[in-house]
Amino acid sequence: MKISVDKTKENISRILLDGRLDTAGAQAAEAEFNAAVATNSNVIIDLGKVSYICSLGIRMLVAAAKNRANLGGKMVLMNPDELTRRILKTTGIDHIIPIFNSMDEALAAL
Amino acid sequence: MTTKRRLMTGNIENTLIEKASKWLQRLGKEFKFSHTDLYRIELCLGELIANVVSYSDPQYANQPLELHASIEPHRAILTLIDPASPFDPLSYPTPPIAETIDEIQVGGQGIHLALEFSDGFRYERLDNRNRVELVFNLEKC
Repeated sequence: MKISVDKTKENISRILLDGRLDTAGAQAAEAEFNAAVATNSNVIIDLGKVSYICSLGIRMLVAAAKNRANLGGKMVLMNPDELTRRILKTTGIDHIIPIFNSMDEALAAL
Repeated sequence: MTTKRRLMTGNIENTLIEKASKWLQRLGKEFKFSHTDLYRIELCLGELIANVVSYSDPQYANQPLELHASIEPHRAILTLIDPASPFDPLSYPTPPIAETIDEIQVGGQGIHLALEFSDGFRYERLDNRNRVELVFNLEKC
């Protein structure tokens, strides 16, 4: 799992996840991901290059979103593939962490 | 109708999830599963195996777990057999949908996902082992 961060606007950053958020991927990425979310006020998590997600990957996203909310600021998700989106919706986290199709939509929500 | 059978065995330990994942990917390649089918199968089996590895009593660590695959032209049946204490995943309550970020549970979604992304799910306790059978109706490739 590769993680990269770029600033898209003042106080808004995009965090791109690239790879599999399986058990090994989530465990390997968790510390770096949490730090990236915690040090940026409002974050868009770009899932466009995530080819697989399991419950441990979802747990990583939820924990980071809770931490971000506690620190102030927002976290949203962007551009998951069809099945990843279905998985996220099945867990109901889309009610709490919004999912958008494009950067423009995500930016508008922040 | 031709049914082809494959078997993987592994010990109940942390590396089992990755071992099973690689075995399922080889299975997917051999039988030309679609991306969606392989994703669903790997998700469901991965969640159930993770559950066994994470929550079984320590006395079952390093005990053998079996994963059987029966592949028919339009469906795959995956059966997970473990020697741990009786546990029926169907008895596990569906996690509540959170209304606020404070209410949302960080974990507890694995079994729910396995039930939702398989097309059939059956549990029985047989010969002192848990036996979970998952059915997947396969897309045409």
